[in-house]
Amino acid sequence: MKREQDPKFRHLETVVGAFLIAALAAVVSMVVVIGMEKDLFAEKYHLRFRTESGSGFTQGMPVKLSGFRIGRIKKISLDEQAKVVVRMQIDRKYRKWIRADSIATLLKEGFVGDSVLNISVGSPGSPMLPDDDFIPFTEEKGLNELAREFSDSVKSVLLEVRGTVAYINDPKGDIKQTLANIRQLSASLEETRRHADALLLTTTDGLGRVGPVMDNLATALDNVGRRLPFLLDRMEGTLSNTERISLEVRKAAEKAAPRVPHLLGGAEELVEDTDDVVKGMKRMWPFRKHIPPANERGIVPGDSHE
Amino acid sequence: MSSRERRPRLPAARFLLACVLLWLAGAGCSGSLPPPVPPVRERAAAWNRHGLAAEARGDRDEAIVAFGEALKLNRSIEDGTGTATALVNLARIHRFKGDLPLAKEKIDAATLILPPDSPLFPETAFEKAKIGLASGNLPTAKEWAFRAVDAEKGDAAGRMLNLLARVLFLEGKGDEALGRAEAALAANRKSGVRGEEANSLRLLGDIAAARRDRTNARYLYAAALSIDKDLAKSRKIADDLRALGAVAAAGEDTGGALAFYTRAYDVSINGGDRREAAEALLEMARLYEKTGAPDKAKSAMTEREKLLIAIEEK
Repeated sequence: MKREQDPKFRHLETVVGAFLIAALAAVVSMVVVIGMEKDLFAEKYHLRFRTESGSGFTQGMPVKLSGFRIGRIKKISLDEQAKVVVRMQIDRKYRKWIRADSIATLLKEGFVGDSVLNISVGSPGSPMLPDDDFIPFTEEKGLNELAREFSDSVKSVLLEVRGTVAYINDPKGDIKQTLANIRQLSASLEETRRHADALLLTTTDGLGRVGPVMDNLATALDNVGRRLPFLLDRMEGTLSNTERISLEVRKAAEKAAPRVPHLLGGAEELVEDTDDVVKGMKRMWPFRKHIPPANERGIVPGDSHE
Repeated sequence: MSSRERRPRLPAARFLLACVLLWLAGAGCSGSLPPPVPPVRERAAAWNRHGLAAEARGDRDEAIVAFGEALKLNRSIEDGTGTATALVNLARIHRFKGDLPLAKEKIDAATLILPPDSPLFPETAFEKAKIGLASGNLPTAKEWAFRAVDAEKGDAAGRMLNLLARVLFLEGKGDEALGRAEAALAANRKSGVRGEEANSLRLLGDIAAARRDRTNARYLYAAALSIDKDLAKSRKIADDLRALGAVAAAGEDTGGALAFYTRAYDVSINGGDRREAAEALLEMARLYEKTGAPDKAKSAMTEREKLLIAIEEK
């Protein structure tokens, strides 16, 4: 009874009531704010796509259109053909941009960023997609796959080149044998030339001695005539091989070249970002005390006895 | 005691706790951060750091390129200290490479820029003296070594004194050199610069050896060798061993001298210093000749010839 008379408790019910109302209002406004933030109150519709593998997808993963988040992945399930069906929940207000020719793509934000699902903007002439309809899906190749693809294409070319080089270098191979034959042939020709010289010098000794030399020459020419087509065939084969290899190399390079600046640009950006992060960390309290001081004067150390 | 009178304890505890937390947060996070550096200056500093790293790993050509870039950037913003730093570094690397005219050109440009009260002046004067010494110009070396000693008030004072003492010793002023070398030893011990302490000891050993005080010289060289071995300075270890060999040879201890020179050769050849290895082989050949082992002397000389040819080819 004494408490009730205390003036401090005179408006207790009013204060408690006001406090409760304020707390309730705060909770409601928090729910509203979070709901608006998470688009809980926005009108939604669903789209689906099929893919071979569910790796890279997670429930709640953002769905983007032109870089803007327009929804998220609601459900990932397996269908009767063991294919993965991904169901997306998308704000209805973006429906006008997603048409029958829109394509969903799984891509990475930067080299080390999170994966996002991107939907391309459809052409205005195509019809809008109804609720729960299927949309085509493609997966952007990752860095590893690009590198593997490039490596595979170059590997085959390198194997060809290695085979060709081994073929050329093989001492028992056609090329070496052909070269040996040419050497032998040129030696024969040299011998023949010497004989011819001798013949010319000894012409005065009698034309009768020309006969054997001419025979030699004829033999040598026969040799040339017999071996030359074979040699030319071989050379032609080698040239066509080389031509094919260079064509494949060019194709591989052309395929890879457009990606190289992109990869380099990305890598450079990544290095710069890392540099910024490291610089920032170096200045932070827990780290800056453990980083050894730099050469204060920035001078190459000198020594009085060099 | 009523409840109203007891109440203040809790807020006081909370206030104290808040203060402690604030203090902790302040101690942890509110340290003064260095002011932001303009990008060009940051790039110049980065090139300079790159040059220092290249020199540290022995890539002098790369160091010259890096210091050249730092010089260009510093000149583009008229940064006198940065420009002088790059010039001193370039002069030093050119001297290391044996290109003394270019080293002189760079150091002269640096001395023109820097006022004597600049913190970089002692290092510039030191380098100018070193280039003078390497060129055999002892008056210039002495003049700039004196300037370096006068200007340096920090930990490098012992190094400057060592250089001055060496120049004075080479000029034949033994007493003056001894005084400076002892002052250098004291300064280096005080500042804890062990490499320069070993240099002081070696120089004092040279002075003692020149005075035929072999006992003291041996002791001083051995002390220098001990420090150089601690610091794992291959070239200086070989210098100390050769000096000990010379003292032993001067004392007619041919066997001891041969042992020291053999160790010096081993250190130099494995440290990649072929010129010093060749020098050790020459002394070894002389000692073998003296001990009546001409075959070994010839073999040492042949090996020396091979080394000299290899140096020339390089």
